Amino acid sequence: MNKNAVYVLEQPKHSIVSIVLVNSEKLPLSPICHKNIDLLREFSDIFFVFSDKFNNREVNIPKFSNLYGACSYLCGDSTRIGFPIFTAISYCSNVFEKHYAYMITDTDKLGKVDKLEDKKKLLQEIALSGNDSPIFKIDRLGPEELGSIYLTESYADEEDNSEKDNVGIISSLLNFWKKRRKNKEADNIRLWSTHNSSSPILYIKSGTIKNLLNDYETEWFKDYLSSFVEEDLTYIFASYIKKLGLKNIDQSILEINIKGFNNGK
Amino acid sequence: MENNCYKQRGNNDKYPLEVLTWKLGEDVPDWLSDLAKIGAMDANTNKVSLETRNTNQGGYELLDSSGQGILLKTKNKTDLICKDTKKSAGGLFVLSLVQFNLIYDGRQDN
Repeated sequence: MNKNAVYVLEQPKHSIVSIVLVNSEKLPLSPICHKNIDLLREFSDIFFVFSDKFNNREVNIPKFSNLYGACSYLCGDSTRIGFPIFTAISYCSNVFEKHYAYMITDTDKLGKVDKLEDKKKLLQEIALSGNDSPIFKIDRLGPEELGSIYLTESYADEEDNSEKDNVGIISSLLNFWKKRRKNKEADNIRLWSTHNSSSPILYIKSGTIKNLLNDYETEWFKDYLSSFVEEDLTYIFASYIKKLGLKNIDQSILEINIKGFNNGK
Repeated sequence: MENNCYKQRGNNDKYPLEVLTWKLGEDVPDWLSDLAKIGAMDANTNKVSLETRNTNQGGYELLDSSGQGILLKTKNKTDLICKDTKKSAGGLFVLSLVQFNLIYDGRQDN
């Protein structure tokens, strides 16, 4: 299996796609997550995304994807999960060209959602509605969390301590260069992590997805994605939606009311 | 004329496993010049150019060899004409560069 390559098990047949990051610490999946994936499969095409970390465990990814009736899967080549997630989004948008709405979530969060069945009809109706705003409750990170980002000492210092035995001019220069490089990399970590979300699912329409993909192949966007080190997608999307200045419906899709989404009627 | 062959990165049975490609401005390969209407030929190099017709949407059309029908229509000037290597006749289709780079390995031009 090639990394960062999409494998299509069956062509999409729904107007909604559910992009699900498999990030559970333990497998098999919890009964709630298992049930929710089966439910999503009833009305959406499932696209599983695996990080490189996951691939190192003894999991047969094609079998897992087949058994859960996924339409596609891909495994990233790094633990920075933003890359495979955006590859999946781009593939759906540019190659499948079929879906009106995208739901982006992970198995960890799906394991904690207990009201999904009640929202099945709503999720389908919003896909066909005139609403274009992402449905995602976005919260500004508090001073403590921001502090933990800008006050964090670079990990380079810790690693450099282990290298203090090296002596000589060449070693010193090499260490200096390594330290500069590490500091530069460290400077990027969580640089754009300004917002988060308590919503377990990001619900977003295809028109807005095109906005998210505008910078997809730029160097800046690669920097952006590589700066998110946590395995939690909500930081990436909440911060990006705010950065783009997109108007969002500031509620979880699980708490939203059907009123107002039925083509304005 | 030598052409690079590109294989799928992953697998999507809607598309051929292996394709040849051509982009506007590149030397025209035989597999395409056999099917499309030729506009001109350089007597010294034997290189051909194809007759193209711009579309209102920013792409172009290639005419078939008879010049009567449309062989292929692109959405952009940068789109790639692809040919399924397993099909001796036909098997032509159009992909944008973004689509191509998601499905196939190798070609990085943007």
